[in-house]
Amino acid sequence: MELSNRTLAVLLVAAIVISIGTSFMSLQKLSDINKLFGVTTGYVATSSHQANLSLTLTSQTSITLTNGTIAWGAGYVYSGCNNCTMATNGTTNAICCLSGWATTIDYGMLIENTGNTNVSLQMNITKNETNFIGGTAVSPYFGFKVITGSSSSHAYKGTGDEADSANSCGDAGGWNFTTWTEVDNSKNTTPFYLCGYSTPAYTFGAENTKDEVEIQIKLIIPQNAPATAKTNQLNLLATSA
Amino acid sequence: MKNKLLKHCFLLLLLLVVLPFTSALGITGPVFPTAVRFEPNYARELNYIITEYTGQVEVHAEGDLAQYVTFTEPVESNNRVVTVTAKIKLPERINKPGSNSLFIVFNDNPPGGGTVSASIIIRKAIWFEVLYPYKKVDVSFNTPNVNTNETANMVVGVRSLSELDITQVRAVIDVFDSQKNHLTTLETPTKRLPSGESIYLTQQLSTIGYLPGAYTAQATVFWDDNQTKINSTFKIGTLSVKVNSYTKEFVKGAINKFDVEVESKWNKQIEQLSAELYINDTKVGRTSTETLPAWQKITLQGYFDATGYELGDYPARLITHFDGESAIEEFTASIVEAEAGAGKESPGIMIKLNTTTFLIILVVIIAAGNIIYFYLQKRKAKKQPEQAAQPVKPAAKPKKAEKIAKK
Repeated sequence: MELSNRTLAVLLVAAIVISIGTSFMSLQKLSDINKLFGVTTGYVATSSHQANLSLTLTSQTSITLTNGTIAWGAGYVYSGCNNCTMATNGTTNAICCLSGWATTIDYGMLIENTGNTNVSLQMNITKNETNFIGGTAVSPYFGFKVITGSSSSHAYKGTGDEADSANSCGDAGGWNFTTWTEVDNSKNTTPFYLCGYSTPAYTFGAENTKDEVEIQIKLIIPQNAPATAKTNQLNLLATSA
Repeated sequence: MKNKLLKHCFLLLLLLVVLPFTSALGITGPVFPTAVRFEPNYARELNYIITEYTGQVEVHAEGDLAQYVTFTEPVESNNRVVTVTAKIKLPERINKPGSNSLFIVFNDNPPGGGTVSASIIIRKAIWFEVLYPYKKVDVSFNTPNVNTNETANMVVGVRSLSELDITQVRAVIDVFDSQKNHLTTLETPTKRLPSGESIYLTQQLSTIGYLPGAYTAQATVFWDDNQTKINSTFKIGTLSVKVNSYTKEFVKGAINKFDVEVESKWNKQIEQLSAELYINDTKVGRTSTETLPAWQKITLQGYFDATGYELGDYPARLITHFDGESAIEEFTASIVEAEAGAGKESPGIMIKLNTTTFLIILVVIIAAGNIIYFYLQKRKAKKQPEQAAQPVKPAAKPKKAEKIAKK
């Protein structure tokens, strides 16, 4: 069947109208979806209404821990080395650390104050480095350090960069242990302050822009460390009013 | 079917590997922001709701008064919310005076594993203040900032931490300027301080004749046969501002943003604050008008179009206006060559390509495509009748066919 030019023209105009119409309808729908997800649309309210709202916000103390388990897995120290050094900042001695230990871990434990009250944050560690690692070829080392405003744990396997924009531990005080700190007997058992200096000083904030901290771990395993499963536990102690 | 199942299992496994392990512990319950005054046989029940947990939550009490707390059996509801009640029953007397701690401890024990793992413990702290059997006070001192010639109300707070009454409490306040020169001495009335109570000793300082600036006051609090000294600083303000810094270098041929950091020396809010930039006695830019709270700093921002200015130094003036007053800063402005992106505001129009903009562009492209298609079709339709009118030429014989025929 041959279409006349007139018919073709009508069809084309109809196609344009339908195309523009459906596009604007799509835009409208998209705007509704945006509103559903709380995305700002730029729409301006043309009328205003007053309403009274009454509510009570309950105090909640909440701590969320991401990557709370660091697992290097099974490995061993190359016989030509006296130790294997590896840390959760992505460093590992590829020559001396073999098998599972050759795999780098580039994220630490991410601690977020997800409640609505400030807390103080303390930590103690179940085993000191001697009890945890053992060995004598070099001194065994188990250390940690606090990283503020870091995005490495957020970036862990695609969880995105949501790093803090401000110091999450008070305006003046700040975080303790921001350089590698050895877990000797002084850090073992007795809780010590990561943020805060005494129990009533609740300075680890709950605001979204300053409510997190990351703890990195470092191990130096002597070549002759006893071949057993090695586990240790960090106890994070958050105190609020 | 089997392959599909395997694929799904692999994806699930991948998901488990990719998702980071997250644990959380959340506690809702009563808050004690300040210390509780100890009362004999104090009793209270505190209800706590454990809203988030990963493993097995264990609840217990720690601190000086842990022995006086018992707990009900935790009750878990269907939506993984656990409620527990801590029952506090303090004794008739506590022998340790001062602050006594009590922590309600919630210990989440998630499944461990790994080389190094972490667990979360949340403590809700309650401090009980037990009065001392001897005379003891806690002293505070507040000296407000004022403007010149105003009166400053000096307040000394005295809080009893004692089981005993203090019969006579008074304060002597010495005022010093920033050079530590003694200016005056004020004396408050004498008051009685009952056990466990707080009183305020006040005296007014007239600042007539005092210059604007920083001052120190030292209060000596006499309480029966004892005394305690405490210092406090205050400022006497005047309606003036200090221009801390401002932009002096501008890029040739560009619209330049200029910043002016202004600090208030006034003990009230400045309602109208703005700045104007003059070059060669010609006003070339003005900042927006802002308000500035007492003693605070603000950065005003304005724009200067340096088009038409040659490279070099120019005599410039910055006039800062504040609540009917003004301050003038003379300086040399430099017009310089543009460095890569150095402080230059692009005069061009920038379109933010968000989803809406993208879709609008798409609609325009579709519409334009339709119009072009329509135009081409119409043109083609016009050509066809013309071609149809031309004489029909005899069709050329295919060369290949020709060759085959010759053979």
